[in-house]
Amino acid sequence: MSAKKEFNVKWGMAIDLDKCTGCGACMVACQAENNLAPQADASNKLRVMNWLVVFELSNNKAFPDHETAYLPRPCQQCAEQPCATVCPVVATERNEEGGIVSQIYPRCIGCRYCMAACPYHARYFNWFDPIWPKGMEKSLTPDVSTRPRGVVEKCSFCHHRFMKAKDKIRAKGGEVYVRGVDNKMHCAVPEDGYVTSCAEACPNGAIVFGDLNNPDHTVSKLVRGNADAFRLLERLGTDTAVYYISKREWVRRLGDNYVPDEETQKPRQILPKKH
Amino acid sequence: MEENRHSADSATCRPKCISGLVPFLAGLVPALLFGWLVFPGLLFSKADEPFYFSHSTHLTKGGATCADCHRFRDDGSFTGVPQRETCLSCHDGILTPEPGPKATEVETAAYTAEKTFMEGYVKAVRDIPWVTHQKQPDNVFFSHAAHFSKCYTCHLTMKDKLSLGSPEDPQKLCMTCHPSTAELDKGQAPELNILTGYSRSTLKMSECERCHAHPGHFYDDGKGRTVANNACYTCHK
Amino acid sequence: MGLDRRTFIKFAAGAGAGVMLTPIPWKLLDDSAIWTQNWPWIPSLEDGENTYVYAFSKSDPSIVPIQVRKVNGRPVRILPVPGHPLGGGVSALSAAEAQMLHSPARLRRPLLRGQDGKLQEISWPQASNVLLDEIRKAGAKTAFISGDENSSVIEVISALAGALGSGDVYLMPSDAQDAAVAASLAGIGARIGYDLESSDHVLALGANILENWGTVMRNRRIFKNARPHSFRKAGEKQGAGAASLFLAYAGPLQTNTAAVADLWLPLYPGTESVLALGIAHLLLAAGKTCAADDFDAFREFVAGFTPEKTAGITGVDAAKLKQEVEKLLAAKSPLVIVGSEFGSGAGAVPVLAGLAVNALLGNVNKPGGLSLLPKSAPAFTEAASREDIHKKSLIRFLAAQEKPALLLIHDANPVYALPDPRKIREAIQAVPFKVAFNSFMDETAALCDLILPADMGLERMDDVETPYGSGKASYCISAPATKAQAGVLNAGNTLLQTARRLDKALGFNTYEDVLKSKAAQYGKVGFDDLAAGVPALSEEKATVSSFSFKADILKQAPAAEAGGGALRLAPYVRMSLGTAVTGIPPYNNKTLRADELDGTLMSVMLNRATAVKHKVAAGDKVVLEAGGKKITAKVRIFEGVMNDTAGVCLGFGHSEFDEFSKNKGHNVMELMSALPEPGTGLDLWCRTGVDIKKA
Repeated sequence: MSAKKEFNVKWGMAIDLDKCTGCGACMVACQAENNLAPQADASNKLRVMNWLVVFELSNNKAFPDHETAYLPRPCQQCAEQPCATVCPVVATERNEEGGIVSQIYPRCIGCRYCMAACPYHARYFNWFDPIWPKGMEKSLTPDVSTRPRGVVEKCSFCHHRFMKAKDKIRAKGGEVYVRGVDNKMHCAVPEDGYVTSCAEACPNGAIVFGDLNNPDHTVSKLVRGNADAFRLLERLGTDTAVYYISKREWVRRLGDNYVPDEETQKPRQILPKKH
Repeated sequence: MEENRHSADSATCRPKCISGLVPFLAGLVPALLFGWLVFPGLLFSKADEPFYFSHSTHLTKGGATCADCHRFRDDGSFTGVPQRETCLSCHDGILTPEPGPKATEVETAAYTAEKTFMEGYVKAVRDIPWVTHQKQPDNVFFSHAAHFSKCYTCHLTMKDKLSLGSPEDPQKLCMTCHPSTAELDKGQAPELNILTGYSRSTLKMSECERCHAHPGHFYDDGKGRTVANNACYTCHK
Repeated sequence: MGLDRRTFIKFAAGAGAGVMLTPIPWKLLDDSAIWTQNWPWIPSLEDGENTYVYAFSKSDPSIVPIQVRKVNGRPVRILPVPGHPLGGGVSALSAAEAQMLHSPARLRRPLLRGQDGKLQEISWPQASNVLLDEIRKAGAKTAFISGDENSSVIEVISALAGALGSGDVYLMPSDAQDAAVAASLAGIGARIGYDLESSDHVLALGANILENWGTVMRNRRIFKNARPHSFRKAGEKQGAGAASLFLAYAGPLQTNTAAVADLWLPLYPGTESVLALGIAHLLLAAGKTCAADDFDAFREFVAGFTPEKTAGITGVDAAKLKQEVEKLLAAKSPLVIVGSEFGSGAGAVPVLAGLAVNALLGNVNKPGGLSLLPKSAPAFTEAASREDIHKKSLIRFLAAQEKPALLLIHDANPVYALPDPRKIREAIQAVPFKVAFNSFMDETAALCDLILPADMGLERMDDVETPYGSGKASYCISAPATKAQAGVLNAGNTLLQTARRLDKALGFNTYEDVLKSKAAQYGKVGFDDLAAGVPALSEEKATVSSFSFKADILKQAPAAEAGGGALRLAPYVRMSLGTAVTGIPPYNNKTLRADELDGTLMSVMLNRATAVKHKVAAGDKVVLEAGGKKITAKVRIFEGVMNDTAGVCLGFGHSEFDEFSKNKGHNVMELMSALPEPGTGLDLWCRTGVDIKKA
């Protein structure tokens, strides 16, 4: 594994599981934004293409003590990617300011090593040609290329929106990266200038998006020192950019594999840093 | 038996070796000629523009600059190839005088083109089906804004070959990647690759990498970033 | 030197070497790689200028103000309008609205049923002539059904019916209908609204307020603003940032609302009104009172609804109920919302009971309480008000022996959305001539003799007037985001034109004129501003001269028991599966989890104890049977289901629309039958008993 890259800007998410009702608006908004093709039978989850999936969680207690919660799962944008390290053709990497893991479809050979490697099942193999019902291709956005059959796809944190936000600044003669009051470089894109499609769509405000390294951004305020925030499978040391928030301990415990008498951990890095 | 044959062969070796080269060359030379001279022509078909259009005329006679027609929108996106509305901001009627008997070929062409434009597209309310010289594939995100700001400002201070234009010659930046206006006027019909559909002058990734993967660009500019990033997501979508 | 084998090989080697030294193989290899990236059947992207238009998602009854992002004039994305009083985000249904414009199920040409019984394409002038002839023939025996209770098309329809001398105008059953009837029975000459914005304690009985009840986008925005993200320092037990809204939900299923609510009170399906009476009992015991004509009768009647008796009927734990009522009493501005668990079929009694509870809480026309909103006047003098239209039961009309001569169905799919669809189908088939004015080929259109393709919400100018659930009266215009597709027409315009051709001009030339007249009523905001997305809001509240608990009607509440069967049926709505009118939009079937739909088999949710009791296990294919009607489903164990209750999702089992809607489960409405609700003129189908057995 190559050395972990640190960036001045680290786009990240905080998903409040106490607010998510599992309505699916984020999933539909994601598909429309990223030009995912519809599928007539979407019940075979081994064949269906989704970049963002809402899972149902249960506290596993019997009625009437049962509680339920919903967990939207985009690509976790790991800083230590299990996927990129196994890609034989460097079709996926995390190499750009912002720390988003890229996926380059024309380069992907469809070997699916990355899917096997991803502990979050966030990667999907494209089993079908991207075909829309006649005429519906007119509703495609120009922002994201359609992907041919036989490649692996995943959530990009709506990277194209980041590109557009940067262009907006550049076209007005501005600098994209500026030094903040904390003497660190920050992205000049305003906090609401780059938001993923799912975060934008959510009517409950369950998804907060921003720069985890920018202390002024809500997302970084929400996750720093918040014992109610956690990441999925923290112990793998993937150092993901997606945090989840819940005041319910049973929800937090589902974020990792705990033995029954083990205490729920706070967000932390468990594997020793390599550098 | 063995020896005999060997001696007989060596006696005739020299003329035979030469004559052995002839069929080889007879295969090699036409193949080279075909591959280098004929094949490139076969691979491309010509696609005519919907009507004659001269960049030079617009720049000289019209007094336009590149940015008058190829401009940025407020959201930072680039308009690229202009449509009717852009043309109509100047061409409120046919501007070229009706060609007399002494009219040059260019004048006649310009008049006919304007007439076609007015009648076939403005009156008919139809988008002009321009054949583009440099359409990028869907999976490429090309930001004109980034190149205008980053490349231009930085290289403005560089001398000689590294200069990508100056306030006096802003077009030089465009011509770094785009064919010159003279070239565009000469080849009115873009040549389209019969396999890929892309025009001959479409930039390929190797050409992007001439700058993006240039070692000179991989240094920290003091602001904690490298210049001309070569990360995949810089250009792909 | 002849051409021998050796020479030929040398020649070939030379040619081969030569070719390798030319661009031929390398260029071809490269180009074929690019060629494979551009298969002609894979759509290519079209870039262009981005523009944004404010509109409403008219497909989504949960009232979603939207921003339509267009590229080169093509709508591509549906984005939220964060600052809008009815907005906040987008719903799973409205998010698909741009794609639905191109749905394979869309109607694009008028269709007429020929002599052979098959539908044939005809032209619009032909279709208008057929419509005109049929209306002339039927005259006063023309009946109308509309599914859009929020727009002014219903006024056009009502005015046209009036001009024809017909009083048969019906809206599809909805929460709004139940509330309108309840308000009328209680003697309030006003519309019921809910000032959720200022409430600090909301108890939703049945009403799935974060999924499908009322102004969902607004409800969810209020929920979002009232609940800060949890932040807890390490070592601390309690996080900072207390919620300014306590949300309690009572219903048979742990729905989307229950999942994020502070309290879930599980109850038996359809017993919300009894629970409300139980609450009223405790409120009275706590000394609450209010001015009402029949207060004493009410007090006497409610005295019987002790927590223990309430628990016996509803299944709600008596202790939990008492705790919740204490919280209601302690709250500054408590609000109780009672509605149907699945958007229809609960009748007016639950809303009446809810009115009683709110009146006892003393929150009527108070901040954070129940608001009484003034009724709006129709744009047409001869049109009936929406409230009056709501008072009439469509189900009873369809069940009646006497059939209209002509039935015009606008934006509604009664054959799918009403209980006992087979009976509804027979009733509609018995009408001599049926006309559907729809955007999609749905189950009802498929029965009709004339199908008129209607424009979709994004293609027309339309309005939204004080949707049910609002806390304030409002008027909003939804501007057309794009040009209508060829072959479709606007329902409002077509009906106005039809009236003109019948020599019964309704006073407006176009539907836009109707909207302008409506807008003028609200005054404050100009039409152009309205069309640009500025809402007209009114702070006006209606005053109430008299109020009655209607104890005599409330007495019916506990009477209606589940109609036999081992289990009680608890249907629920997932807005992402669309409505009866839209079908399941493309993209949206992907929001279904594997345990909700397995191929063509839908699931039925039971808690483990219930499953064990009825000898079924997870994954079993079972038959649910009610009144001789059956559907098959797969058992899913979900502990968020009331005991002896079967949770089933509505929205499956379409036989029309397209491949995204067809061949998926069954329409749960097939198990339900409507029963008259005594004293209200409405019908009930929220209490269905079902039997379960392995298939």
